[in-house]
Amino acid sequence: MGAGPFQLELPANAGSLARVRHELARWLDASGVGRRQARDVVAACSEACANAAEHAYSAGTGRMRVEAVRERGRVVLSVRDFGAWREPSADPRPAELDRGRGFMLMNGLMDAVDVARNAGGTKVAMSRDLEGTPVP
Amino acid sequence: MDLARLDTRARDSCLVVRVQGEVDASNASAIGDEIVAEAVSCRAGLVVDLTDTEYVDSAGIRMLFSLRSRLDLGGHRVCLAVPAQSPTRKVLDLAEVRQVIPLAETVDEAMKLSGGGR
Repeated sequence: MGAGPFQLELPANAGSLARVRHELARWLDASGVGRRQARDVVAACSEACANAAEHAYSAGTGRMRVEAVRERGRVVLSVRDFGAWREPSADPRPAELDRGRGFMLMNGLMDAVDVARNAGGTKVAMSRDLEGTPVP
Repeated sequence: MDLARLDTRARDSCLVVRVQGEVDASNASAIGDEIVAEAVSCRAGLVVDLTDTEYVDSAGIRMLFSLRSRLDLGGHRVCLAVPAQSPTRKVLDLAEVRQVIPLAETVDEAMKLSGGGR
């Protein structure tokens, strides 16, 4: 069998993004996911985390949690934050404008992207089919 | 953490800035400022070479778009060099970057597009 589930919880700020990418890339490799597909999954995850860092917390002190599992024929990934969703302001700061592009990239890189918001925070759930990759 | 570094060289009347490493929300503005500062010394075209760049996110894409407005006004023409097999190419294509900045497969081709090549 390949690697077990992936779990990482860390501060929701831009400084965490590289660590998310590097650790997820290692896990995807250990899970037998090909490099090109892994690159797409890592990029989508980093965008979701950047959103959590930018939009969920006004003070920059919150946490975000990344979880991934390798299922037969696909990778399922989620990024959660525990802050209140901030609607874009009338005069959005430049970083707020990245959100739309971030979601556009996630949709292009993954096969399914689902965003659920409630009082407890926001969860972005994504999956990517792994054609031609044998299940380890 | 120092995620990315720039390697700048002058070729013909072009400045070629090679970006190595990863560009994300943590360093995109700093990288953009560094590229603009380098561009002061170039006469004509500026080529941002992303051949070896491992990762660019939406903040990095915004930075690339901003180069166009920051530098074209000063008379420089900005162009990207991103071969089809580069790690960042898929994301740049999804974001339709070439609708905003000319994108070439090689540095030589990018130099021609930016008007600084032979």
